[in-house]
Amino acid sequence: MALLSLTPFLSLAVFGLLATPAGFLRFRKSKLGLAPFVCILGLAIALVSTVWLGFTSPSPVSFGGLQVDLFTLFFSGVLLIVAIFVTVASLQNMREDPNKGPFFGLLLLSTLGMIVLAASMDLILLYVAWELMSIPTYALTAFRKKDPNSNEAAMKFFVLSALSSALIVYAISLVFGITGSTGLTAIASSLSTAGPDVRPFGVLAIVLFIVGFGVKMAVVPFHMWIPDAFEGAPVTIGAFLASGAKMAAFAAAFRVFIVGIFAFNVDFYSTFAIVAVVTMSVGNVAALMQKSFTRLLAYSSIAQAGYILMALATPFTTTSVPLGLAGGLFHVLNYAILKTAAFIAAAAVATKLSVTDLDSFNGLSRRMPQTSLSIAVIFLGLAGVPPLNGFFSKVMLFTGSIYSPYSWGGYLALAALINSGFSMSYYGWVIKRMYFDEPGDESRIPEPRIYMVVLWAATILIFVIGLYPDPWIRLVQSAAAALVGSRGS
Amino acid sequence: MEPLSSFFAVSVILLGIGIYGLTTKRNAIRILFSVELIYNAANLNIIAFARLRNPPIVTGQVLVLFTIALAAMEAAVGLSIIILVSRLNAEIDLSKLSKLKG
Repeated sequence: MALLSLTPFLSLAVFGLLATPAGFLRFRKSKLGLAPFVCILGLAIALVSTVWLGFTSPSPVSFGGLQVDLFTLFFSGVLLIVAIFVTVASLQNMREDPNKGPFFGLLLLSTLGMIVLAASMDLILLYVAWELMSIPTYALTAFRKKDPNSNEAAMKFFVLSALSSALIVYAISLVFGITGSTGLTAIASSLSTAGPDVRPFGVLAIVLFIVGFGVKMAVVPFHMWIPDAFEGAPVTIGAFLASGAKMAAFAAAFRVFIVGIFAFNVDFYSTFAIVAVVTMSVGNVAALMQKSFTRLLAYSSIAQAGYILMALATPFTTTSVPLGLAGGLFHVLNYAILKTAAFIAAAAVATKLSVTDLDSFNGLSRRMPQTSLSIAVIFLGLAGVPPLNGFFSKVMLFTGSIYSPYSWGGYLALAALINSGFSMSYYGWVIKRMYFDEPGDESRIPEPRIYMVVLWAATILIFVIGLYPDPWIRLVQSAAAALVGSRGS
Repeated sequence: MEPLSSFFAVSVILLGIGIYGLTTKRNAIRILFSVELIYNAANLNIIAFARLRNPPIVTGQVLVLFTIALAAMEAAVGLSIIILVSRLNAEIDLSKLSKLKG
């Protein structure tokens, strides 16, 4: 049954529409209402069906522009794990909010947009999915109506994000003008025979695609909205933007560039390499100078985007296993888990101390031992310390870059390695503050139980991926092969 | 001048005005205008490419209907955020909104 491949999409759509009216119903006298449970049910059905589809029918099923293959299912799994973590954590900070229905409904619909984005093989569908992902996140960022920080964050986020959508539409218009088609495989076959007279339009389209996706992926110099948006948005939505929306933008970029634009004989690989090096350097240096924990996380997420961009800077032939691309996908998985958990840890500290400046982290291990332990594990994972999960994806990315056909591949890997070592300075500095500095106030702080459930689940996942990387590496390799296989013949 | 290149020239000028507005203006409404200009430049492009192609293809018209509808939705959400901000701050100048810094 080919239609069964649509289960994850349909489940999110149906439960997303149900969650809003369900917000008005009460559930067993609990204060939470029915909406969060509808949301979790929808996400769980989607995740189970994604995993089930991945095991039973890994061959690609195509519905016009929507293609369900292992690449789609991989991103669907990653984004659904992020969405489940965010939803469960939101049970804590949305407890008192009267508008739970819209919140959880928008969360589900935005997740649906992200998954469709990973599945889209047609630029019309890609754009619709892009907006389905973006528009709910504007509303979610502004969800605290009376909080000026939330509003300001939403406005800054909206302005840049609307610009990115507009530029993507312009790029689509140029590609459509050159090729007369919106399907990615048709675009690729038409671009491979394109004459030199359309070359400037093609180059402009590529630049606009890089800028448009780059705003959402938060690559330098389009990263300015990230720290403001993450700091002002409701805490769990910060996690959702950092891991969900950003990784979905990477999925779209992988699809567009590796399935469609690659056929056009323009060297965008070195552009991505330069952007990657600048992004990771700026992110790491700026992170070192931050005084607030959420802003430090925001800049570290910019740096991590630089590592993932290395996957787009590594060209490959269809005959070999695309090691750099597989490493990029592995880093997407690891980054999504690590960053979601990091933001939820920040939320746990922020709800109890109501500040997130780094001075309040002094001696935190004595006040909030579970949170401190998970922050330490997450930061070591982000820095890429073995045997945690970030190590293997970085090794794959760097090795893939060394084996790239370009002579600068080795220098790119070296720059990333230096950056990776440098990032240890601020990660280690926070860990040092938590474990070796004297707290101003010794009193033990009760840790919010729901956040702890998510943090323990994420920490266990980090160790599982780090200690048993083999099945995960096979997964990302087959996802990368599926992406390359979705190129037209 | 043949029709396709004149349409494209107008569209590039609209794109340029939009990007100029985005980089120089700090009023949120003006920025929204600039973004809409870029959307319309793209729409004009798509329509011209689809209509003046030989033979004409209908995919472009479908795509433009989608972009018009979605851009309108985006503008609606954006305007509601601007209204929220102006209620709280009596100010929609982006350069004067600076609570979040550090």
